Amino acid sequence: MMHRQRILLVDDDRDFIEATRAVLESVCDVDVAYGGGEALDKARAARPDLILLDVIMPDEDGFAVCEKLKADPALAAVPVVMLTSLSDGLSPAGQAGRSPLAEDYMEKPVRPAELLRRVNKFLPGEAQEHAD
Amino acid sequence: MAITIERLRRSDLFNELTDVELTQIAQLGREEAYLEGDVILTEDAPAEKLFVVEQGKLSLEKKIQLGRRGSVRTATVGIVGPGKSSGWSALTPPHIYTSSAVCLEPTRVIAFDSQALLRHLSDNPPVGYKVMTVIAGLARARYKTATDTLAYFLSIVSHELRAPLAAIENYLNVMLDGFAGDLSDKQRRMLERSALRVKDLRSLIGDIVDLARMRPEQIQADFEWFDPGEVGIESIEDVRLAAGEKNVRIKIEPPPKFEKIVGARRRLRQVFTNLLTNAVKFSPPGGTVMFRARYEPDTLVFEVEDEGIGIPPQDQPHIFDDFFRADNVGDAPGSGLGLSITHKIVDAHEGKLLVTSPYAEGKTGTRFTVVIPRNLQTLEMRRSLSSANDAMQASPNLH
Repeated sequence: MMHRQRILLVDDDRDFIEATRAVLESVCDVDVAYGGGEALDKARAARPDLILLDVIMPDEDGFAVCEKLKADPALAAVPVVMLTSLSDGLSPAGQAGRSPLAEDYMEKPVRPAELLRRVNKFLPGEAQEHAD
Repeated sequence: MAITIERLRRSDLFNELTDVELTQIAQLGREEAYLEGDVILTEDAPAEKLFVVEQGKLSLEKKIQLGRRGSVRTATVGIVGPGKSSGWSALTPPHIYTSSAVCLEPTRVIAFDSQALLRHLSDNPPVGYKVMTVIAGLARARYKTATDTLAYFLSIVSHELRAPLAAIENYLNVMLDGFAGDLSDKQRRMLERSALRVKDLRSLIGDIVDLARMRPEQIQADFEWFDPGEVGIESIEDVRLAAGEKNVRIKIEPPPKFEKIVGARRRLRQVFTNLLTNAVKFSPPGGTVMFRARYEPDTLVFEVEDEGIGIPPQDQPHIFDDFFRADNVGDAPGSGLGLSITHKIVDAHEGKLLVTSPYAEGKTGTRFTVVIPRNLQTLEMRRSLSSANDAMQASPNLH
């Protein structure tokens, strides 16, 4: 049986979600969450294969969400790619988009080709044979 | 009507003075009345009078020019009402007004002649001290308002303007890459033009924000090990659309192998993207931009060379100044910030940024050379080095 892989896309900007989703749906199923709390709920309800997580969100920032994901034994192994605006990444503290816990980060605006390259890095063979 | 000490005491400038001191100051003042729309002091003009407003309101206005060749307009930078003073420049060198003051309604003021008031203040040091202390406080408050406003403005610009632009750019990229259906050639061309304009706007906003945080220590805090070859490729990608648009070819001459160096990765990408953007912008259609890199024993050298219009010799000493634009750039878009930012980034790397224009006899173009030392240290390296030094100094008997 073919298992289409599932990405959880988390961002409070609905336009960013819509544009990004259009690209991701060409290779996998996409769940979306518009905030940190919703992201945790959705990840726990249906374990995704990869999480794309925005850094700046109104309810809970991406770092805090990432920490909670990694602290949950059921989700700790799910790779997380942080999404940052160029401006966040250039903050004086430097590398603000890089959480030590996240597997990777990428800058917004994203280029579709680059997005798919990153996604494929974490979803090798986007339509794998399901083990069961 | 005589200027009484009661009238003077209501003003912010003189309310610390004693009755005797006020009586002397009162003799220097003269009541003046103005109509709505009257300009009572003019920006950049010699500051000959100081005013205390008793009735009515003054609008403080500054000239601003919208665009390099745009018309001059005025911006209101403050309102001065009863009890407040205006024209402090009359008391402080270089005695030139920094803004104009326009009456917003019929206005009554007490006017002081700058020379007479200054003479009185210097002849009576205790009075002079009190009045100048008040002026310093008022100036400090106005400066604080201005810097607070700037910080607030930058925070708005950096997020609230950039976030929607990033969303627009995402949509454009997704459509251009065919993820929202097929495009006709005309639609593709229009979307490509839109993407370019949005990208220009985003980089302009980025430049404005960057200018505020281009201190060397901020750049050095981001030092890390990275592959300069990857950064070069990203920069080429940054200008790919603009180059394609003009049919400008970017030719690369990399070293046989890239070795990692220490530097602010994103900032150096900005350096190369800025230089490549300029090279493409000033290249003739169909021209070639050379992008070279080579390792010297102690440095990594990058060169960006174009076949463009060149930089006039008289402009070359100024091209790294903030907001400078050379005489021959015509209508080419740009804020005049790119090279100044590039220079600041290279400086923070203790590197060199050189310009050669024309770069060879019989050529018209420009070559920018970026030289980055290969012995820079990350923050962690500096910290561990300094703690090792501390340890050595703390236990000299070990040596």
